[in-house]
Amino acid sequence: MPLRTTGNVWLICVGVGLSAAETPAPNFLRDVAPILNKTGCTSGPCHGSAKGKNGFKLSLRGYDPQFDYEALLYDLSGRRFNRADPARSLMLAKPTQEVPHGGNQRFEKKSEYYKVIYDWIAAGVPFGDAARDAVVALDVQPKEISLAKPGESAGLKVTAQFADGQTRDVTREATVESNTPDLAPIVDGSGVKGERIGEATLLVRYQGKFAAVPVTVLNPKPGFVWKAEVQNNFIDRFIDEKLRRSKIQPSGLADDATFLRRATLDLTGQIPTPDQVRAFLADPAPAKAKRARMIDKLIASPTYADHWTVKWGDLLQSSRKYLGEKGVYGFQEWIHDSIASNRPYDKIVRELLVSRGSSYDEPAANFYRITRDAKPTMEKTTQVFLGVRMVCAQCHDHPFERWTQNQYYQMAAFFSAVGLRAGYEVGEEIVFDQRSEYDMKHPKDGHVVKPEFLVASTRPVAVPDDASRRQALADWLVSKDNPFFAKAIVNRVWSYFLGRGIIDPVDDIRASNPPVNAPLLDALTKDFVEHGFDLQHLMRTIANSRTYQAAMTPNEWNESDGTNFSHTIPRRISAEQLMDAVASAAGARPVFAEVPADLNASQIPDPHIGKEGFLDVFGRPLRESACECERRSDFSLPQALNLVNGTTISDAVADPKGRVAKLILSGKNDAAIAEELYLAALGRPPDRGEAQRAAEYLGGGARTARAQDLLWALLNSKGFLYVY
Amino acid sequence: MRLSLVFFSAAMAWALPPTVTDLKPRGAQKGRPFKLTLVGRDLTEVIRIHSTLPASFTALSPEEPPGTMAEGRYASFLVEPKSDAATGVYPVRVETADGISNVQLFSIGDFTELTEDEAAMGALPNRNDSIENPQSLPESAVTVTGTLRGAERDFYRVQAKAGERRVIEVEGRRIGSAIDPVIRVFDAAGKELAKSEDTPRLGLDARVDLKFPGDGYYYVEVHDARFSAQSANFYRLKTGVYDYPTDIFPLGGRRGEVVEVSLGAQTLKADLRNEAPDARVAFVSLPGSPALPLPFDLGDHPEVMEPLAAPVALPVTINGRLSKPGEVDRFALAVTPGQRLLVEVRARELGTSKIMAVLSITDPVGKQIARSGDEKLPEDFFTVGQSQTAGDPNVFFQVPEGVTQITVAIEDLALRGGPDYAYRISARPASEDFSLSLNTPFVNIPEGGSANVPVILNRKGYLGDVQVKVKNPPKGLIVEGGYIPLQNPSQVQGNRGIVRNGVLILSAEPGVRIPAVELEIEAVGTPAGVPAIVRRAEGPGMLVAVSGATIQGSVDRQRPVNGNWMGMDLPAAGTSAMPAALAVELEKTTHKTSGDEFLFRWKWEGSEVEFPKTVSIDMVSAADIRAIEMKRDEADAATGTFLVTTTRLTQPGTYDFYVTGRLMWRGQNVDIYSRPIKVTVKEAPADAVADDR
Repeated sequence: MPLRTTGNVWLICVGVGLSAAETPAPNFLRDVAPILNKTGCTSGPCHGSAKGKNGFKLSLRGYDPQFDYEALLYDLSGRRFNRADPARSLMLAKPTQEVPHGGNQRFEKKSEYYKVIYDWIAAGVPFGDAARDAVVALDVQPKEISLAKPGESAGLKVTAQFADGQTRDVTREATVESNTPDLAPIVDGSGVKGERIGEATLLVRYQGKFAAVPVTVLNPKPGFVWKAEVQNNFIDRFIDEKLRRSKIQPSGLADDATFLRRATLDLTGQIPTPDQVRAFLADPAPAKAKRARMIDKLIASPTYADHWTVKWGDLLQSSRKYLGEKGVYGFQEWIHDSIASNRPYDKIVRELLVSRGSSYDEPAANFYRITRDAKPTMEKTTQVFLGVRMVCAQCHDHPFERWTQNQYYQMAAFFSAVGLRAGYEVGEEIVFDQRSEYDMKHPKDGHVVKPEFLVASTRPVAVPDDASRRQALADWLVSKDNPFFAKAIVNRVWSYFLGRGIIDPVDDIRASNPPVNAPLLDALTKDFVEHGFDLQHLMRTIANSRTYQAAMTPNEWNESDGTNFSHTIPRRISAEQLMDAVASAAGARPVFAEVPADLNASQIPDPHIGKEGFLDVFGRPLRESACECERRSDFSLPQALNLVNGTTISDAVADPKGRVAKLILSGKNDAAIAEELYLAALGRPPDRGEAQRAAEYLGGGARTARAQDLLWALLNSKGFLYVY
Repeated sequence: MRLSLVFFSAAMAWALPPTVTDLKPRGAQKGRPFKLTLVGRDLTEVIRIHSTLPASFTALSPEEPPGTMAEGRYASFLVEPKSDAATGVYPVRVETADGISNVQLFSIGDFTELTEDEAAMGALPNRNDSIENPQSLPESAVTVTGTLRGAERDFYRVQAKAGERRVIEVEGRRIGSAIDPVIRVFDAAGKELAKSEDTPRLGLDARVDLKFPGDGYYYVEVHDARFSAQSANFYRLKTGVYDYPTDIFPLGGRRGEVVEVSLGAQTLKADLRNEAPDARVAFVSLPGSPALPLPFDLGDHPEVMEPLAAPVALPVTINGRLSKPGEVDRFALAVTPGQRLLVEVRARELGTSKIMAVLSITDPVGKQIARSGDEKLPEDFFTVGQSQTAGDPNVFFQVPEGVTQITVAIEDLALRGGPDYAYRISARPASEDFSLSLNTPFVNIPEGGSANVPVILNRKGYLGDVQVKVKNPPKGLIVEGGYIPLQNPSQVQGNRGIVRNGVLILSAEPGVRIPAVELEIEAVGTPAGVPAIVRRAEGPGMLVAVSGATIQGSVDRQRPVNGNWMGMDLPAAGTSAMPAALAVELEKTTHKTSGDEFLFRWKWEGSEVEFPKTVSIDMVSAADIRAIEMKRDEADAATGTFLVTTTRLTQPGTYDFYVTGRLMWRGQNVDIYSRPIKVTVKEAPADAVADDR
């Protein structure tokens, strides 16, 4: 504890005095620090900001009471307190605005907070004793809130338990926040009101302890009668249980054509060809059986590996910016091989974590070349593989989670021995374990931080103190018992198929961001682990569920549900999917500079190919972050202009070797041409009205130009741009 | 390796020095005569072929009519190799009345020679770029010369029977190509059966050795690892059933001896008795194998093999191998207290070992004396922005007092090991030392003009100044520059040598045409109290630029293809006078507290050329200098001035200074060099501004 010499002596005296007191006087830990937090003194915009405010710095949200206490005591040469006349202390005069305070008035002179601080100063500003005054648990009642209809409210009671066993009602001092304020806003500091139907989570914080309280605002509409839909596997059972409880009726199955397009896009990144659509629609087998066969077929196709290589290339930030040209090709191929061979996920991750050697001979070692240093490597590792964001904890204890700054450095210490050195060939780097001077130092005082797992392993895992420490990390991280590892990937993969995670965002798993269906996530995780971390099995299980195969069309009971997977929510297809879909529909492949001409958008190695072109307009990430959020799925004006006026679509539909040209030259009639274009673009035949209008249009003049127009219009339609 | 000369008669004419960009074909089957066409520029007046290929070269009449665009772009010869011409790679250079060309490598092989359809002169591109349109190859052993134009894949179809073995190999970097080849083999269903890239002992080249699983057609794909576009974009695909070295151990031997070397299946005797004193490597190959020979290091010290039972005396070369991952090999050396030693590893840079060695020296109680191989590579003022590379480590140190035995330990940086992790450790008493390499493979010196020869000084303990010289200057050659200032000790990190650049300016007196000659370049350092250090420069033999991607925002600066086995000296010749001459003079020097300011004037002489508005400058090995205020005189376009500033980071001392101007001449960029002048940077004064007008 870095205390100044004079203060040290003084503090010891205070400690002795307090222990001798008959009636416990207020102390900083138990009584004053909560006030500083509640009144916003330690908040980010105030003294909790990185540089403090007006020369006074407190730890963010009071995560470091010791630091805050010393700051109060020693800054301004200790002139914040007038122990002889506490009322004249700056500590009271500032927040009551008796002297000018940039943060305005925080409490009044007659308030309870004023009295507590006054008494504390009068008592000699004791710090307290962590063994007695620290909060060890937080109890929030009720554990779950269910509001029968919008407009209803509910209150919370928050009780803190201290290390000495005492409890205290801290409802007033606790901070309560809603993760969906427009659905369930906080009222009166510690209550919640239901504004509309849906679900939200309340985060309750008090002195470094957290609790999450789910809130459900039910649909008050009378007449709900649960109608059971088909259940294809356990996913549907868990989904239905939640839906039934929430008075949400799921939509039925999507039709075969919709299913085929959705599954083909989600599993392979491509749209089905007209022949594939015809064959699937003509298959007389029961829907469940033929869909299951199609899912297997799609997973076995080469485009499956291409598609998921793009996803993992994003997450692992495979880019020549970090890896050089040869490095990026090698890393991409390693990812592709891992996916194509369905290497178990735990083995893939282990291989990355323990990789070493030449980046040319051991492509997995490129993992370390991207982030390069221990801290960003740890941040990426936890975010990608555990779904845990540690970045906040580098500077302070995590404000929304239990992770501390110490834990940040303990986890980073697993990577502190990783060294990088230029290899013999240009662009080659050697990833190695340093032999010396690799200790992780704590930024506060420079002490050596030993590696330690984020959460304790259920099995004894020896953590070596030498450079081989990341082997131990790999053992812990990919173990079946790790509470985050399997869950994080299951949740992430789920989001790729259903549009949002069971925990969402998928790479922000924390107590304050609970799953919307915890039993489902647990069951999926268990199933994934029991099947040997088999990603294909996981995808097959999800894709075969009725939940995944549900129609987009809502019913009166699920139209406002956007979180419980009661019906399909349309998603804009990704940049690569869109470009490949245009190529497939138009029968004309775009050519990218500096890669072989036969590569499609899902096969190009990194974002430097086709840079600043169509793919970037449609949200392809630059791979500068491991966050899923880097890939944009929004719809923007530049995108609309590109679709309408850009050359990607106009050139494709007019390609002399393209689909339209071939159809015209084949001599097919207007109806056949229209049907083929609908099948090629939308993966379904036109309905009667569409077929009639299309045939009429084609017959109204120059057929080639009109067929190009028709295809152009289809490629600009929502039915083409979305997976639904 | 000396190049033999083959003479032709030719009329003298005014032209640029010749450039050879390609050979057609790139190789020939052993013992068969063939027609060789050199493709390039300014090849009209070929008077000599310089080649180590034991063959006769007979010039053929130009097929292109004079006065056409094609004139000077081709020169054809009928080549009749001697029957004993061994399988291997041979340099070919031409000499014209206007100088000497660069080197291209020509291969002599054992198999029938074919040319990829699209690589034939005048052929249409993209004829075998997909598995659907492969070029069929015969079942017999063949070598195909192909080209990769940018992001291209070449596909070949071979027919094979179940269980049939086939070796498929691509020669790229080993034969002077900029291609970094990858081989993939597919079955008829498109399933990948084999892939090779960066095969051990082949550098960046590739080889697969496979047995086909069934009767049928198979497809061989060749592409560049980066799908890059290169000028030197050729490769040779060799396919057949043959043996090749699967190992090489030891990696070298002692000059003057007959050395036993294992090449995997066979152990043979390498006869090093006739190796030249300045040769750095010999070559060894399996008898009768069509595989290209492997380089074999040449040493001059007694050689020992691991393990060593007792401490060995110096000098010595230890041969060993890290046979399994994580292995650390240790050797005891008998030394004398106070002795200065140089311990060097030879392995990765030979191309026959994958080891990135970490070398450490400890005393008998385990205290570390020196270490290299895992230290942070120093940032170099002069290579900012360039990709760093690392080579074999060396350590220069003094044996501590009282120490009579040291332990040399070697391990791989990434704890790798196996058959491909052999090494040679050379340990010898040495005072401080340095080595010098040339950064140009040849030079043409214009009549009355200047050419520059960049050199690279690798310091190994010696930090003093170095003067680079020509040991055998022909009459009329003026040698200037070549001064490399002393090294600031504060910039030396660990035991790693510091690399510094120098420039030698070679000028021909007016009216003097320098004959074709091999210049011996040497560098002289003068450490205090001991004899001068004289080191002969090592030439690169050939340099082939390897470009990175250019339009994708991120560029790999690639290591050039180097043929340093071709010899140590600098091939030089005279060429025609340049259309202009450039001179530089120092007009004014100002010493300031922040550094010095030098006002220079440049002046062009010449006619019928347009002088550029600016010139480039080089103050050789000076850190933190800037050229500013470059102005051409309004009244005279042939002259102008610029200011060069130094800072306190610029080490005081004497520097060579010269300027370069780039002219457009006959449709080509031509660099004109001034003769160098000496510039002295003084210790920055504490305050006052001094004017040394």
